[in-house]
Amino acid sequence: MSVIDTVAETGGKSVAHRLRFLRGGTLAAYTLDELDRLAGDLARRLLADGLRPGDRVGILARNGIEWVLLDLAAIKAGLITAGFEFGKFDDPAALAERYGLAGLLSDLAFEPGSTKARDLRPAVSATLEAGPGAARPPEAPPHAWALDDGTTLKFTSGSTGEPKGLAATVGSIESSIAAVQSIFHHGDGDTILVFLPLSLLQQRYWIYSALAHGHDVAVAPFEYALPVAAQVRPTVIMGVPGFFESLKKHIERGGLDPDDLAGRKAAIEALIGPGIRYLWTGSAPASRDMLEFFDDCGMPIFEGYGMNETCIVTKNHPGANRIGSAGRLLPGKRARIDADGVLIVGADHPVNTAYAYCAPGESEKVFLPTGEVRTGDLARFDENGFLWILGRADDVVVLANGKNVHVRGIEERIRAHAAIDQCVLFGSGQSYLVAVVSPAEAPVPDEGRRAIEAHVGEINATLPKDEQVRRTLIAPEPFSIEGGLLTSQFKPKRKEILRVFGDEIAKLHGVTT
Amino acid sequence: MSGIETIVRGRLCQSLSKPAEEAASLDMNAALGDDLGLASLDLIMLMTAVCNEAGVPLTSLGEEDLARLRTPADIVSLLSAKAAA
Repeated sequence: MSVIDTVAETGGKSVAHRLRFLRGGTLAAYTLDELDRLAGDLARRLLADGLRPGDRVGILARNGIEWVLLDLAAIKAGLITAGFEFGKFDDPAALAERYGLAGLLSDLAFEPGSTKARDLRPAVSATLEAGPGAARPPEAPPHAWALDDGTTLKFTSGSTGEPKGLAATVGSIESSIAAVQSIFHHGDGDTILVFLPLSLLQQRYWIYSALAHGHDVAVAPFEYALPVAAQVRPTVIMGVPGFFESLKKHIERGGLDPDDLAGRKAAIEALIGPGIRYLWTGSAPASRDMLEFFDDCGMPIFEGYGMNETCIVTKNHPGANRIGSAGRLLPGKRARIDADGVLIVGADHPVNTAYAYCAPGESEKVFLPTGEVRTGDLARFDENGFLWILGRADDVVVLANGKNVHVRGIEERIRAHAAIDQCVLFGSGQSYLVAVVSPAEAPVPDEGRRAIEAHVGEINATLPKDEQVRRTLIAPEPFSIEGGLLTSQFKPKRKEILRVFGDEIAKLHGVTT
Repeated sequence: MSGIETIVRGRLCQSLSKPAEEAASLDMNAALGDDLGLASLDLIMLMTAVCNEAGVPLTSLGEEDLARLRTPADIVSLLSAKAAA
């Protein structure tokens, strides 16, 4: 039986383990048994309201009990969820129309008549108000999911234009959770803290894992990750590299002696609790400095590799950890490096074979006829099977928060200014983008500098936050072929530019070298 | 200068790796992101530290209030209002 079927049928029914969450600013809890009964009750209400298996329900909400409950109820009722990242989407009615939603739970208000989608808030609220003691399950048995059924729609991060939508199959969820469980053995005594958006399917894995394998889980909005961690004392925290980088910077700026490992560990524990078994990171490049900052003081941190289209592919873990690598392949995954050096991933249970929503031709670029996924990441495997990511084959910069930014279009817009000859953006594994500008003429007068800054500012005003250029470095002289910063085709040589201006770029990223 | 403003200035200096003696001269109307270079994750660390020192639980502040923070002065206003409530 798949994890999803387990969740649909029994929900784990553990009275010993809890889901903790914030309600009105304070921590509340349900046992997993209570959570299961509430989810059953909500499934009954949704079906009574006329929703039918196969219908799509959208969730545009902050992390909280409502998100969790509707997701679990949808699994029981055979509804397909579409998780929209709160803060990134701003028009619930338009989402409902575009994605054919039959129901919608939104933290953003929408007019009842503006969409055909039902407002699911009343049903969710009624379920919570009635409480687990009054919960009644649906009359029909829980929905039986097939391994190749898509149970949820997930959307790609970052990037301009419409996000790509991808339906994740039950089999991919099942095999990923089973593979993770085989290396980390989550169970009694574990509390996993979830604070990244639940719209990211991988965050919901921890809810399903709790129900299937019997452990605690705490859910908080991103903003409250630290105070909730201090209260629930998690054993596992999953964060993007940027989160752990921020923790590191915060502790270092407190004036800690770099050699005082016990003091470092105590400072980390003061922020995220004393019970950490391990830290999980991925979704963006992690720096060796950051990984060693935690690992050296006895706070294991394990980096992995995966993307929306593949789910988790490789993971370091106890007994198989090589810092700086992305770990070894998980059971059920296959990988090869193609002739261009690009990582190609196959799976016993692929996430899918095409996007459900994308621009024409996008699916074919990523999903190969073999059923494999072309990741776009340049990579190699070492002699012991550890994966090392070497960079991107395309123009994507993956920021520390895991957002993917296609930089070429932004670079071209910056280049359009008469005072600018070339522009290259950097920011891999950092919090924001930095531009290195090659001026049309040198030296650049103060007036010219101001004009360039103003031009970048104007472009920023049209871009989403993650795609904005926060700092601009104007090179002392134009890039040239002779100087080694342009190819013979007059294209900028990114790696060489990074080598030459690396220290200055690092300073603009706030990194001390 | 209020006690909360002193706390915000002190913690902001720490977040920006500036010496404590520069606390009094920080521009409280600078943009936290664009001018001071604080990523949203850095802002969470800053707010957690400020709230701990001020004795105001971060979880007592609404998500919308946190999302509206643009400048150090906004942080002072938000926490002052909360402390007075």
